[in-house]
Amino acid sequence: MRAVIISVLMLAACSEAEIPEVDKELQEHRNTRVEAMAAVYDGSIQYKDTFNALDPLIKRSAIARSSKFDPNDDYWGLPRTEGYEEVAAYCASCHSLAIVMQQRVTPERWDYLLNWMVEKQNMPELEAEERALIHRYLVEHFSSNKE
Amino acid sequence: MADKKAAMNISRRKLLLGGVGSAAFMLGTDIPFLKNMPKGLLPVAYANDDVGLDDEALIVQKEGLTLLNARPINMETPAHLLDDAITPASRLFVRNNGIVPDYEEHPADSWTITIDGEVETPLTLSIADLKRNFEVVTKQLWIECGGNGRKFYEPGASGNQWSLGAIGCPQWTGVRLRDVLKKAGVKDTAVYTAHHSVDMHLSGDPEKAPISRGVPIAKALEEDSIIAFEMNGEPLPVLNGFPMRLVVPGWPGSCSQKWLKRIQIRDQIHDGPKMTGTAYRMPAYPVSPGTEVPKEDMVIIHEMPVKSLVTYPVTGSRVKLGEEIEIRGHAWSGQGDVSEMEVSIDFGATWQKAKLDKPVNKFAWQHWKAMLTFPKAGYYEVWARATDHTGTSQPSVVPGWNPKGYLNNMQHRVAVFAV
Repeated sequence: MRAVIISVLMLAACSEAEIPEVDKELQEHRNTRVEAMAAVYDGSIQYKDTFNALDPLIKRSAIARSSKFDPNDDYWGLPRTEGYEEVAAYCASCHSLAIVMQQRVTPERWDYLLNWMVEKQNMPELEAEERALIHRYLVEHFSSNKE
Repeated sequence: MADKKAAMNISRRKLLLGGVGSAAFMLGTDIPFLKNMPKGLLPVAYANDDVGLDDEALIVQKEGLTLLNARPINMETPAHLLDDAITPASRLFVRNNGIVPDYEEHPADSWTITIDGEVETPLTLSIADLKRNFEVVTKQLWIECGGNGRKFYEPGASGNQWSLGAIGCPQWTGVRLRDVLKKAGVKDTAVYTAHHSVDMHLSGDPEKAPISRGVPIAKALEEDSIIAFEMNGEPLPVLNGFPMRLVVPGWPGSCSQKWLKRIQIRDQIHDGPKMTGTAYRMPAYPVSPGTEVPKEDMVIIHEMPVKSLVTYPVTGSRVKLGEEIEIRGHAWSGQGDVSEMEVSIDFGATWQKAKLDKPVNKFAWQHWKAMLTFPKAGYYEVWARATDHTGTSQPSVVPGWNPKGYLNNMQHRVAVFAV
């Protein structure tokens, strides 16, 4: 046991000795690089869709991949794939589509939410085909499935 | 079928309105302080025909807040704008479930609240009655949305994607809820409070309430909860509950009903909107991320967890290498008992103690600060963690995933460049 500790210490001492002193010129280079790094760093990152110190556990793709809510667009920025008109019509009757477009929930949760809207929030009941279309659209664009 | 048609028609009308460039232009009116309009603000008027310039005017009163949703209005405060010891009205977050009541229809001097249900003597009280009959108290109490931090769960949890700023700690003036309930005489059959207000359901259905929550009678009878009619010495802001609201500290903000009209004492656990299902509930047992939890296994949230924020410096700041800088913020817990505050600049490998102030009163957030120097040039993250009296600290990573993304008290971290 003692021998192991000693050899570890020796190894530590040894490896320390092998690392060359950083010369002054290199150190200056490094400082310049840090400054360059800081210069391109966006200080207002909190609500940007970047991977950063405030969102360290959110995948960069999770938000960036999503289409952005756009109040100036006729369909609020919904991606124009099959189902966008139905989503605009049903989901924006009562609430803003901003809440829809910020979601990254599971397909199961979208299913739950559509039921909840009908059962608790006065959404008109959808015919099976239309419901499937809307669910498919939401999962495609605003779910955890979208990577 | 008729409903469905109506839904389509309403939407079509909105879609037509959607093409206009700006709310101000559309309404032919200038918006004062337009330059102060929060980034990302959308013209509310055409997201919602029922909401006009009034809502727009209310939203611009919130300086620098991020609008998550305009119908219903939900706004959060960036962490660095929460640096004030007492949160000003302009920087207090907004969490709404329904349509904001028209404040001109509800002037403060004719507003009353009713206390009824399992009480000996039902009461109807105006603000003047409250001031006359009860001790008026002023307390600084933090209020935090149960879903603050939801954004960080993966897979996503449904609801507004709050990041850090659904928290604030203004000074409230009102009367103790306990005093009013005692005056009404709470019966032995009382189990739970039920809070009712006048905000309208998003569907416009006058029979539906957007939210009606409550607390166990024991919580309501603690001395800290108040029926508030002033914030920071002014009438309550419209978006934060004018003219009267509850402030029930330590529990999710939804227990602190805004635009309060009635406190009904019930002989059962209240079952109003957002009391049941998955709303403001956590799984009874830890679940793996993405699990759909059966409703009967979801339990009502009580205390909020221990938490803290770094409010200075703003993330991404540059500091001069070798210079000492002050890092500061606030800490709070659902028990009102933060006992220690620490910071780390090496990704949690080592921690140093911060100076932590005592709260000005129970459930006021506690200010903390630490002096830091950085050993060499480079990118740092300042991590902050609070610990309560039981030794419970904030986790470094997102805590247990849950279907609605509640109670995320992970450590706040800000980026700092030493150059």
